[in-house]
Amino acid sequence: MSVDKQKLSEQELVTQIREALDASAERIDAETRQKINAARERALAQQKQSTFFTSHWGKAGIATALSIFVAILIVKTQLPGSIEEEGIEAMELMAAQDTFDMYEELEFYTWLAEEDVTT
Amino acid sequence: MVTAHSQQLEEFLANVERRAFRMAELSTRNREDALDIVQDAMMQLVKKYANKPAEQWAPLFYRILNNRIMDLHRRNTTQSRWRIWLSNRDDEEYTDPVQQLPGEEKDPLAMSDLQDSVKHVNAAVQQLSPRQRQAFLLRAWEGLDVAETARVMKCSEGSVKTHYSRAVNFLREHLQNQL
Repeated sequence: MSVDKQKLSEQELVTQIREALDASAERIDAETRQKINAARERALAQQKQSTFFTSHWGKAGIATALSIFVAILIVKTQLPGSIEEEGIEAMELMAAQDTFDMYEELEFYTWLAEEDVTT
Repeated sequence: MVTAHSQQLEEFLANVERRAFRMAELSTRNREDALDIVQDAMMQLVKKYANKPAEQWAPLFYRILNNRIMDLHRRNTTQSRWRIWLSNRDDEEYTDPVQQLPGEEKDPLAMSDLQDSVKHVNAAVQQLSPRQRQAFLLRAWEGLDVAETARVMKCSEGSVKTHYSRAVNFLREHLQNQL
């Protein structure tokens, strides 16, 4: 019985405190309320901006841009004789050890061709 | 294009913003700090958790809010210690935080019973320890359950129950003749 009374009094206490807190939240002055509203608007505006990147249109736009980029990359790498490609190939040739082997054994390869040994 | 989810998020923020502001104000005792904290919490919720299911917003929002409040509390405590140490408690600029209770003089309902209750409740809630205040406000005012409150406060459910119980005892002691 006394436990019920205690519980009830706790409930009553909490209810009264909650009512007082609700009243204090309801009676926030107009200027502060305006600032809170503005803060909410700013937060939500931020979401609208970022929504583009997550929306279907945004995703489609990003996918298109990526496709174009990849296509350009492929075309560019397949173009014969581009300066970059030549540069890379030259570097590869210079770095390749077997190229030097070929020059060292040039006489052997010349002889191989003259004798037509492979046929 | 405003989706139903965005609309729901706006309604959620509109629903909690004033209580969140009061919570922050009760904890910080400073209107501008409270506004900054609420704005920051709203920004973070929208930025990081807008896509989460709506039922998760309340615990997430209050977790961010309480983190900000505790950050400010820690910062103020450190600054206060430095100020006291530097001035050796004789500095005339030192102000008692209890005397900085928000906006009592301007309130038009200062003479009413309700306003008296509000004043007493505000004063009593401000005297709670930060953890007790968090536990009490989240449980009693926001209606979060023990598990949600524990997640918000980053502690065990047992700690929430202890903080809440101590808060209720303190408030009963201080308010039973004033409500």
